Amino acid sequence: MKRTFLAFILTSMLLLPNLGVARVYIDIGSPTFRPFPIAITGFKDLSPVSGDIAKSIHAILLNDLTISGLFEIVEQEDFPQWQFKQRLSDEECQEWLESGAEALAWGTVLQEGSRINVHFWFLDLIERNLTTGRYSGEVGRFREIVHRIGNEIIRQVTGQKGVLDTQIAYVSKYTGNKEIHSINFDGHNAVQITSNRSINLSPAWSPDNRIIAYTCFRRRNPDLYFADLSNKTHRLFLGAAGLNAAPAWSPDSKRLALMMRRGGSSEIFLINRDGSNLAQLTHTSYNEASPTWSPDGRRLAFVSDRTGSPQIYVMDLASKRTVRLTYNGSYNASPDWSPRGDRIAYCGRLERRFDIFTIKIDGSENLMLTSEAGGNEDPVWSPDGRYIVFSSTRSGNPHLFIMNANGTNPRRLTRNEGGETQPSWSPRTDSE
Amino acid sequence: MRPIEKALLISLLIHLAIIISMAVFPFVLTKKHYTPVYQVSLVTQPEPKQKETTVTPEKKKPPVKKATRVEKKAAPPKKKKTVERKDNKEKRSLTRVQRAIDDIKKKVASQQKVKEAQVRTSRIVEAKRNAYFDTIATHIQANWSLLKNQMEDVGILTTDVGLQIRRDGTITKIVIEKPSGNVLFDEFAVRAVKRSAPLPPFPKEMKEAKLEVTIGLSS
Repeated sequence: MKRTFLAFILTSMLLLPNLGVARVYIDIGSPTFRPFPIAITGFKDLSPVSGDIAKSIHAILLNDLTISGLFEIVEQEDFPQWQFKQRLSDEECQEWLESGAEALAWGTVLQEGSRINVHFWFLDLIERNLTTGRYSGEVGRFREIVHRIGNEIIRQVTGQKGVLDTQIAYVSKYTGNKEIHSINFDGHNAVQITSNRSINLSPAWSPDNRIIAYTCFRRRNPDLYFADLSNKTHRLFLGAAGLNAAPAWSPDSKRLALMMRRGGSSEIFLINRDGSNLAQLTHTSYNEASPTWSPDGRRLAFVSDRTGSPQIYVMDLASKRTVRLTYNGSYNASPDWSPRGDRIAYCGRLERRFDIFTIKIDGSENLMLTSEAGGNEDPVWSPDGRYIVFSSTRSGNPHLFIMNANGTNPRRLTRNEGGETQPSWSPRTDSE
Repeated sequence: MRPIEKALLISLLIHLAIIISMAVFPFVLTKKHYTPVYQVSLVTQPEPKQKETTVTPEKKKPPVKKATRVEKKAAPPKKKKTVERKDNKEKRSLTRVQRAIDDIKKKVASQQKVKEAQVRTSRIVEAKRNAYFDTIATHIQANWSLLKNQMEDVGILTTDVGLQIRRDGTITKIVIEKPSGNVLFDEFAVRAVKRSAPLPPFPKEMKEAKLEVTIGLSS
């Protein structure tokens, strides 16, 4: 009985802490969506011989943050009085807040011989957090330093670094032949990767940033080649008679999925990076093409015409169970699995025009991202899942465009004559 | 006592404890919700004067009873020869009684007035407090924004942010009481609150030195 009373008292005591005055709860909903307002106050040149490099750094950083789509740049005419310093008082912070900025970025540049040192400050005016960073490198590669500063600012605001330092490989007819090229996210630094005067197609940038796999016809057969990015050499990887195309790297860079022709139809195969363990994954009398890996490496999405028209299917690699993903329209191809894993981007044909769509892995929320702007094909996600690069004929010949993952803010990336297609996004070099 | 009976008794006592607690402290589990968009705080006007007149007569009853009691006590004359004296005495005592009744009436009326004034004041304070919460809500709502091109598809999330506000509107404490599960969303919720600082000062009718409120910021 004593124990029973003890239990009664304990229960009552447990309830006692809840006693008190009712707490007021205020509901706030319906947020607005806006870019993050930031002011870049400038870079001070500390070099003995002053040049234009500080101004260039300022301009590149402004461009980087603008094309990221995440920032609203506060105009210089709205600036309060600014003098270079390392800390700001509360009154100065308040003044900047009143100008509309919620963060400030500034820095110093010191050029010594062929090297450059950049020191930058980022101040979150709301949180009053000051972040600083020092970067140095060759003067000729100062753009990379600026991209790293931009990525750090993006990380401060979103918690995740940006992709300003990434590149995009693509097929270009600029030289008259279909060659593989690459270009920076900001549209600068275009580099030709192949120059074999043959036909080079479907580049695939390895997640470890070492190799670009591509299909080349230099032996009059569509063979698979590796371009080694460290020593700029090319080697034949797979030259089976028939088709060796559409390579897709597994997330750990250890395997490749690709399309090969066996008999009358093309099938999906897997092969190790060292060329071992070539294994056929699909066994149908229909055409299977364009494999893409899920970020966890457990599933593959690919295109199959097993129902009479090209549609996207998802296969579980362990069980080999395959599920049809797309049902909308009679042509859905070029799937690319998002790095966040929740969606697949693809090219679909509606009313005789190709457009970019994304769809959830369960087949729901099929979103059309492009419309009434030429033909749009070959969608590829950025490594952070924020953007999609694709080729579009909206301005004549096909050129590469980058848009936000929700289809907004498209901007043209490449401007060469002849046109660019089949993009592949590099991983981030500036890791977390 | 068998174990099953013991268990039943313990269960009964626990339930009894909960029921008693709920009955004695019904306000314990309530949360006052202020949703600025859909809820309107109705401010009660001070009551019309007519009400005062209707209330007052009811309260007059006890003194009247007293008066009749006094009359009964003073009624029977004891000696015929001293009738006039007695008449004068009666008159004087009646006057005294009447005065006493008037005093009581005045006292009751003034007490009533004080009570009504207190009710009026507490209603005004309550209305002012509600209006202040609406002001806070409007203030923070104006600053409630998420990052464009990054947070459109966060889904349905809510972050509860606890605030301590001083009389002058200064926010002295900000804590995430209930995170949404999305770190960036929580950061932007706190940001919206910090961007709203300082909040407007308390209305003078509110006597509290500080307030503690929870702001639920939803996507």
